[in-house]
Amino acid sequence: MGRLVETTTVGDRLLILFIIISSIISIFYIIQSSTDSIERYALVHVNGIEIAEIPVNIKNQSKTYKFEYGENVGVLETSNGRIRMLPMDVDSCPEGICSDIGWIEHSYQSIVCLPNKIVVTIENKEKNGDLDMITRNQEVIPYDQS
Amino acid sequence: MIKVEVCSNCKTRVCDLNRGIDIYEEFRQYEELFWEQEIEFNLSECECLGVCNGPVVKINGKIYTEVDADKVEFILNELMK
Repeated sequence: MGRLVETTTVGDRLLILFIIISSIISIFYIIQSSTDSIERYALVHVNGIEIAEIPVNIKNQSKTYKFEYGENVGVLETSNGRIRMLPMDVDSCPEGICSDIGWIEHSYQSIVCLPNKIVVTIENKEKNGDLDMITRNQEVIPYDQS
Repeated sequence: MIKVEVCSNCKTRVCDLNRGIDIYEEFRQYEELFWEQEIEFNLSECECLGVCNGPVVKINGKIYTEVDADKVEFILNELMK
C-alpha cells in the first residue's frame, strides 16, 4: 500500500477512484435495467389447458384471483412477487398439499394439485420482446436504400 | 390392500410434476378395477419423498422413481402376484 502511494500521483489516485466508482454505478444501472424489463406471470393450467395468466410483479399489492376447475372454484393469492394457492374444498383436494406448499416466487418453482390436474408455474417475459437490453437502448436509425 | 401415494409437493421442476399428473391419472384408471376385485385400493398425493427423480411414487411403503405408464402396469402386476 505504501509503495502504491509512493509510485502514484494524486491525479493517478483520483483516476483509479473515478474508475472504481463509475464501475460500481454501471453495475447497479445494469441490474436495475434488466429487472425493470422483465414481467413475471403465473400461468395456471387445468387439465393441460392454460386458463389464466396472473401478473406477479414485485410492486404488486396482495390480491386474490379465482379460477374454475371442474365444478369448483380455486383461489390464488399474489403478494410481493409471490403466489400461493389458498386452501381448496376438502372434497376435491383432500390432502391439501397444493395449499400447504405455500408461496412460490421463482420460475423453477411450481404448485401442483394432482387430483384436480392444476399446475401453477411462474414465467418471466421480456417487456420488449426478443431485443436484448443493449439493442433496446440503441437509437433506431431507419435503413435508407437510396 | 394397495396404498399408492404420488409425490406432488415439489417446489422445483426436477420431478416433472406434469408427468406426475399423468401417472396419478394412470393409477386412477386402475382404482375401479381393483375395487371390482374387492382389493382395497387407496390412491392419494403426498409430500416430497426426498428422492427427487420423478415422477416419484410410494406403493405400500416402497418408493419408485421415474415412473411411467409401463412401469405402473408392471408394478401393479407384481403386487397382484
